[in-house]
Amino acid sequence: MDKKEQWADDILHSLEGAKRAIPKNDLFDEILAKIPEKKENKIIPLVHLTWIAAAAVAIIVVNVYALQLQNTTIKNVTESSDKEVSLLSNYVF
Amino acid sequence: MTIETQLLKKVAQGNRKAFRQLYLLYKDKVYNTAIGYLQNIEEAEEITQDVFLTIYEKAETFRAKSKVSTWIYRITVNKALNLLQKRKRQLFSRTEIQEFHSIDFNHPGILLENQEKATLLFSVINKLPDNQKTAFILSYVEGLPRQEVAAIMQTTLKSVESLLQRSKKTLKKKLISMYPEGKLKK
Repeated sequence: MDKKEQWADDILHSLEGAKRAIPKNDLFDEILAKIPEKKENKIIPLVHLTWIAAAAVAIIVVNVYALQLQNTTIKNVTESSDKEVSLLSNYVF
Repeated sequence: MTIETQLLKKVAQGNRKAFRQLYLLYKDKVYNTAIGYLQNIEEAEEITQDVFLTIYEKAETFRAKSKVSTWIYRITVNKALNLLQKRKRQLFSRTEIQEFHSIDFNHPGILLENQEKATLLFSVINKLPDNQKTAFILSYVEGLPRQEVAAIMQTTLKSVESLLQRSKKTLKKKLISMYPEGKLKK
């Protein structure tokens, strides 16, 4: 091995025994300062979820009730119109 | 589930305490890797900040298909390479690029007696192609096992070994061409 190669090999091995470079102490605070606050609200609290579920149940109950009410009304109207027809057809005294 | 995976899950929920713990575990690894690529303290700090912000924002996308360390190293490598590309685009002329690379960089972790040699080595590492540079930095600057380097680079162990061989060959060739004959003869 000639001088040049030996010299190049020495340089290639110059990283041996090196320690890791360490960042400055306040770097984490700088990172925190850049974090948007939004993420904190990404998880919906359980109380909010309970309220949402209760509201959904209430909407469903009201809708079912309204549907039943509508069905009953239609039934009554049909029945009454049937009676009217029979009354009209029975016009001979 | 590893401690890191648990921490990352908590980070995904916005837990800043877990984020701090993860930072303490990885800050030196991220910073040292970044410094290997950029050879500039300010830019390495910028990359470290950027990497941890990405970890915080993307924690919920981590699917545990790889180790947390592999994922974090991959983010670091990508960000460092992107910044190098950006730097290249900003330095228009070849002379400007050469001038930038000729600025002496002293790695803070290198033994005092090796500082001068390491400065020279870093100046030639800069000239390697990206994949050779990554294999060399992760293996020799960061000191990672070849298997982990392969996982980070999403390649095979054989490929990493070949990249390392080629990078050492290229570096040696470049160093020999820089041999300071005049100085040594004195």
